[in-house]
Amino acid sequence: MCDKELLVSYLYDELQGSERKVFQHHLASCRECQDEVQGLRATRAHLMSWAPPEPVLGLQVSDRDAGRRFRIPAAWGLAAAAALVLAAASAIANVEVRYADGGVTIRTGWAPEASPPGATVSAAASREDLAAVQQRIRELEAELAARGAAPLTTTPAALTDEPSRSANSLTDAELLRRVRQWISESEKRQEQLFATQFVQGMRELQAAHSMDHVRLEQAINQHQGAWSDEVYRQREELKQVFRLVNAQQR
Amino acid sequence: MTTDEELVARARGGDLDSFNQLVLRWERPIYALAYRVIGREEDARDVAQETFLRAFRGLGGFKGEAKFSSWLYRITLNLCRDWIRRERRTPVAQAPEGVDLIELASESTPAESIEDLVSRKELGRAVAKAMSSLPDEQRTAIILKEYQGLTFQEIADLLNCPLSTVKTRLYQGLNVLRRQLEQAGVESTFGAERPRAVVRSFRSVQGD
Repeated sequence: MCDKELLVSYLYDELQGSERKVFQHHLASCRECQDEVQGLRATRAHLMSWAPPEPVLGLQVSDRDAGRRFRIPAAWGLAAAAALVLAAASAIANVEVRYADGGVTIRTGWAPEASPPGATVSAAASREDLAAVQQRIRELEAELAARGAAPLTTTPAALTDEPSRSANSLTDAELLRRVRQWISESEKRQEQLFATQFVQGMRELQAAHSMDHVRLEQAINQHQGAWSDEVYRQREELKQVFRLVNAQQR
Repeated sequence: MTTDEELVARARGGDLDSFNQLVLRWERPIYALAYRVIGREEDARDVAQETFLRAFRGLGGFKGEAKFSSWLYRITLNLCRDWIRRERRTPVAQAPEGVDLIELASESTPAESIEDLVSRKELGRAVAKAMSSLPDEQRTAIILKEYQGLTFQEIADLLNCPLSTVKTRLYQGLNVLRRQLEQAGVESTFGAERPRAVVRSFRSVQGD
């Protein structure tokens, strides 16, 4: 029977020594393998005509790339990041940002009256979540303490939708895994919350900005109107002066 | 020339320039591999860029047991696999529409006529099409062997499978390609066959 593994190795010239001799000996007497080797050699030759495109790649890794994948930190780091971004924006756009009572308030100095009531982004929902989670953490801590384990350091960040179930049967490892899971879920939510707040803030800025454009245009139009009135008035006065001068000359 | 291993050692010491020398050395093979596996120019470029970013960040985990290039290939293949999963479609090589004769003229060598070049491009398109019809495993084996020039053993290490499996995949894949190319009208033998065939058919037309 023909050994196709040997045939493939022969085809790619990866047969050495005795194996090569054995296959060559077989090939000399096997019509089927001769045909196959010839046919597949032709196929291999054809494969060479498939060339990939040759774009200018110029790939590079930079210092920035090296540390590119930073994670947005949880809770306080996030608020700080939000404050930083919005402070930068406000420096340009005269925006007022308040972060108090768990809610972010954004006002723009351009068009205060243009701000819809919904523009104040509230994080009340997340505050409720936070309370629920803190409650859950306290439960967990009590549970751990009952087993004589060290209490958890409270992270004011863990949120969960999971219904409280009998935790007595949980092993420590399981407990730890769940806490980690809650924390990572909460980080994800905070990222989303941050993104939502940021997008809302930016939307408002844009709305205020376009309002400003409209007002500016109106002002310019008014000004242009006033200016042409003035020109008209002065022209009339000049005509009047001319008439007077002409009358005196006569 | 500085070897890959020397450059890797320097890059591990924090020398970004050394790493970028490796990037320069390997960007084309990596891009070509990604392009042939996933079949889209832009995405292949992204995969290549991401390969080097990951390699740079993972340099600490590269123990030098395998060749640096094999390590890169592994990263690229993983990224390609993720890409295919994400896109949830079989990769299809983009065949450029039509052939631009002016562009071709600049590519042709004195030894090759425009006609030959056009037929080579058409053949390339037929090959790309046939390749895209292969099962992933066979296609990957053929790409690594035929276009990246790896040994059977290197492919087996890269794909975490026995040597005999690699050979079987190649054998099966090549036979599928051979049949498909024959069906597409591509000659399965070299050389002088075609002109003779053309002359023959021309005579038979005259005889009618």
